[in-house]
Amino acid sequence: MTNKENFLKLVSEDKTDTLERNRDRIRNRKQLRESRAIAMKVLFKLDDLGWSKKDLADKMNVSPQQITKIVKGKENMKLETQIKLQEILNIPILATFEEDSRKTIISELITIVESFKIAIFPTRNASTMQSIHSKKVKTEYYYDSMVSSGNSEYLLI
Amino acid sequence: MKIVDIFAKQLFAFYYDNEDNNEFDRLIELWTDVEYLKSFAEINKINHIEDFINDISYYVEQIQDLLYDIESSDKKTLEYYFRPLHDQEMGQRVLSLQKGKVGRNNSLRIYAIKIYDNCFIITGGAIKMSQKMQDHPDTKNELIKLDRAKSFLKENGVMDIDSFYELIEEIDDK
Repeated sequence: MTNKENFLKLVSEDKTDTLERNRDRIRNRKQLRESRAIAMKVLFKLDDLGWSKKDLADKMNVSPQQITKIVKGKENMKLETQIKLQEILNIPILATFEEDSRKTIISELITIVESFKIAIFPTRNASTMQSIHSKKVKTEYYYDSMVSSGNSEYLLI
Repeated sequence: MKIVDIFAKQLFAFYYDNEDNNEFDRLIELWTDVEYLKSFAEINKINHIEDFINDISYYVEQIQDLLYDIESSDKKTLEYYFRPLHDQEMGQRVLSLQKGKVGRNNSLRIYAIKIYDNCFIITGGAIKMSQKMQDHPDTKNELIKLDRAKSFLKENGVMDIDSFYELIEEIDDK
């Protein structure tokens, strides 16, 4: 028998799906990249918080196995799961994170402005103050995304 | 252990006992596992873990593209994609999936033995962390796997092609 024949005799008759899996990975590359990015954010945030995967599973009310899948970075997560991760870990995953963060910043700014108004100009009327502080806020915290989203007008009133 | 055919009786892989996948699939699964990569980076005291994970992920995509290229190209043979490792690095003749599309800086290694012309069997692989394979536990383990694979083949009457070449040279010398 030749070397080739001896070798082929050793090869299992089991079929592999390696090529198919490879094609799937290439086809799903964009999704896998997103899943990977989320997995990294989750893992680094867990480190920061000193949480285990089980802690996160408990807070999300899912199984630890589900978290294990997420941190492997291959899971095609439902939006619902992404929202939970974003809210519980306070990490940017969805578009709403940016908007929510912006709203939080503006809300904090308004609180600061209100405190400032009361502390420094207790006798001035509200409409004058609003005008003064709106200008100040607009100067200091003006940024493109606010303007482009149209939120600046709304937020500064 | 068993041997499975990945591609047209040309590219094969070992499927070791107690593993869920053949060696090619096992490595791809491992190298795309973010938790594993982070842990690997920490154990190996890599400073920029995020960059490391992104780099490895990019390299894995190169290997995936390479396999796709191999299966879809009818012009290039497997020989084009494999190159022998330096003897001084290995101390023996083993072949590594390193040619073709995979960039020179790619730190992922897939090791294979050449059985006959245009026929390779994948024995394993590793993230290369040291110049010499013996200097890192993972690549050192790959050397052990290579030896074990060679012995397995030999016990079953299969010699790797380099041994045959040596035999031919001996005959020629006479």
